[in-house]
Amino acid sequence: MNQGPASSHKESCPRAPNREKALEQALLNIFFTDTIGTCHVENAVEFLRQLPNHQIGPVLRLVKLIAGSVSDLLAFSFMENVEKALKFLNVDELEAWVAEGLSIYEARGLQPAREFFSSPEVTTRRFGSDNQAASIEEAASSLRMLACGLSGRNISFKVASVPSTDTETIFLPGTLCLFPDLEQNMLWYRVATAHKCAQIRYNTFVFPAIRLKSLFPELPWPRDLEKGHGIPLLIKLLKGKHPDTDLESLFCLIDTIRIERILCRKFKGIGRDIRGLKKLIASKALIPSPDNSVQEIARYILDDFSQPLKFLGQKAREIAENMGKRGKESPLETILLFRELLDSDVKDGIQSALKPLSYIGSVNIEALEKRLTARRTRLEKRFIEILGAILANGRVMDVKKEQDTDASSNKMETGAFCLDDVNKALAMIIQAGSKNSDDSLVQPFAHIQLDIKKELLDRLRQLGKEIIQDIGHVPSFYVSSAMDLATGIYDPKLSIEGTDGSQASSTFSFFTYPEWDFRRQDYRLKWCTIKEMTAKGASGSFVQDVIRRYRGQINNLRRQFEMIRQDHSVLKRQKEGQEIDIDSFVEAYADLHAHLSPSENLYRRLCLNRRDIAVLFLVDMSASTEGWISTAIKESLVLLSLSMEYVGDQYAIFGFSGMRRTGCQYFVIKEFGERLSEEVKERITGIAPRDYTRMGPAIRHSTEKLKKVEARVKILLTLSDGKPEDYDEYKGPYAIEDTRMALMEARQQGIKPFCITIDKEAREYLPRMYGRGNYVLVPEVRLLHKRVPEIYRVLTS
Amino acid sequence: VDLAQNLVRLGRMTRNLKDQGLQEGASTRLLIHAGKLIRSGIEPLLACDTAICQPLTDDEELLAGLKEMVRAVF
Repeated sequence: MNQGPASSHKESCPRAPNREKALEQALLNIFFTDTIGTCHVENAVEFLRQLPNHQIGPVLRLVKLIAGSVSDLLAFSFMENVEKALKFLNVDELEAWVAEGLSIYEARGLQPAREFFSSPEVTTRRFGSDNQAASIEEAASSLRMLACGLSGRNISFKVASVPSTDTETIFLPGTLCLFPDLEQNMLWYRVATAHKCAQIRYNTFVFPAIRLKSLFPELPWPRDLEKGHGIPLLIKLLKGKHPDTDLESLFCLIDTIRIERILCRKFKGIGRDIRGLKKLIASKALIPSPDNSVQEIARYILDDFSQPLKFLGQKAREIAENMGKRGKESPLETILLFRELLDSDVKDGIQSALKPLSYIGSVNIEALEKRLTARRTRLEKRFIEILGAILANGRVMDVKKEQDTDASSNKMETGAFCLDDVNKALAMIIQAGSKNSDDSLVQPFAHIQLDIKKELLDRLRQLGKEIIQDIGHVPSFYVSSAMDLATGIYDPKLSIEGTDGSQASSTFSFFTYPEWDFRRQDYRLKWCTIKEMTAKGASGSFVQDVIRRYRGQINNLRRQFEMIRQDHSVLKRQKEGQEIDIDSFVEAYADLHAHLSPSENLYRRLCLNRRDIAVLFLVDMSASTEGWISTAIKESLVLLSLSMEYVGDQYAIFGFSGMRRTGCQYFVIKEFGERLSEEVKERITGIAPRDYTRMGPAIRHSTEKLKKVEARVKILLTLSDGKPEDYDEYKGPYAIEDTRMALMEARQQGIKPFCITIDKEAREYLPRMYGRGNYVLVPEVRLLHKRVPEIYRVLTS
Repeated sequence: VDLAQNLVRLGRMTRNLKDQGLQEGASTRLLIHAGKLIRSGIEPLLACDTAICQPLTDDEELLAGLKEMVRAVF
């Protein structure tokens, strides 16, 4: 049975208010716990509102079943997707679908079960007969290999509504039900993938900017053409002239003539697929006869390049027909036709022309440019390395020759090649092209005597070709860098960091960590994502105020901490040492006279005692610290960091907060080795309450940080105001057990965890998490600043 | 000539699969075997499956990918 939402909407609307109230009441009855707020129930009503009356009963029964037997969260994800699922299933089939979801929960846990419910297009297929949608997940596994084979690169797939590629990722829609048959929907995926791979392999987006400049001399080209990427730059510049035209899609459409031609010629199976898909498209929708040049091109593609072209001008027609006869591997013809079409007014026809040919899609210029830049940097590096290696080997060879014959050394001057020679040789290597005989490979370098492995030369030639496709020629600094590398002057790392701006600009990075699920006694792998970022500073006189207010205490702290800082300590009552220990000598003397056996430990030994301690302060920045608790924590941090400066221990300060497992945040306030600068003080001032307290990932990340520090004693000191808790299921025993596990992992790494808390109920759970004696409860917040440095002093001395 | 070109193309494609878990691509020898089978009248898809895909791997997923490639070429 296929219950469309459109028909059900009519049924439900007239009595909407009453119905909604009844629904809400029913849901409140099911979810009457304090963990689910009324706003969630309102959301749920929103999901269920659209269902027709006769389905409400069974659906509510299933909701009750899931919520009662398994989990409220799962029930909510069921409600969220039930309307979509009912498009494919009738009520009986829905029950089987839910049963499958529950057994997934039993076997694999909450998240897989939620994923099962959240993609009904795919997961309902086994249960109902109406669902013929294909999904990218199914298609990707077999298509990925086809894509890698076709494009020669490591391709990954991502979901996007419009098909496109950035030359390393292929973007395709997540699910597809264009056609009534699963096989046909898969065919669409296959053709779209092949199309995108062909764009990558046959260089749709790679063309030297210098050559484009001569084709479009009227555009405002930037001066430094070598830095730009031809096609993206061209489209960007043209956008200025044609702001309302979808140039990206137009370009992809035109280029389809070329790449499909090549695909059909070289890959018969793919050609068959493309023709099959076009036939399907033509039979599915009535496509009107074209009334402008763009629609005509779309029609030309759809009819497999057989229709005569009427709307195009003389020149454009010749180009298009040429492309349709035999596609070339360079996109030059595409660009020429693109230019011709831009001269005629095309902007309205593009979308309607592309609609039937949905697999062609478009391109995201920004993403493309980023990838192309990364690729160019890689090519540059490898080219320089290989050429450098060849030249370096050559030198060794040449020196030998020199000793042997003393003949062919006139090209060598103090061990370096002449730049012109290398350039000439390179040009010959790269142009040697398809002739694969060994002679032609080694010959170019023959007059400067190189010992070249064929493999290296092959790779050099391949790289050189790719660079010429991209930039138009091999930039001279590549060659000179390679020569420098061969003589040891050039440091490739420096140049890469200099040219790749994207690395320098990123200010935060992501890490994933597992989480312990005590119910299953196992880890959930890669469960939490933590984002590390530098905390925002805030200007203000907070730090100065604290220093002024607690001047007396700071003086005390300085004295105390400087005392424990001493590098030397005297050990009394030792068996051997530099001087006599008067106290024990007196005792021994007295013992001797009292006829007792005297102690042998009569010496004092001066001992070099380095305080080799690294401590990481982890500050809870959850919303519950709002107000004076946060201020108290900040005050103690100021005093602590001053104390640490006195004592000279390595220390770092980090804050953590976040919401949900994918949104954990980790704020860098002070790294190990960073000075207590004004900036750090500003960051301390800027500490502000944020979201929840998901402790596990923060502790795991801190452990990773401490692992990298060298110290004899490593301490992880947590400042917190309550038990771990997050917005989702991270509460109660689950949260406590996960935190406990994270702390145990830290201990295994030789780190000593310690907790200072102000939660009065902390005695209930802290012993379990930290172990007896590894926490201190400061019941009075206003004493926190006094206690924290003191605790630290006692802890480490 | 056409057949040989297709086989070479297929061989090249399989050699791109190194990052996907295939130990090595189809060797010239395997390609020649496949060519001989096809010459003697066996369906290209079946011939390539027998002479190229099966000897290269027994991993289901890789096999499906290789078959997809064979389908693309022939």
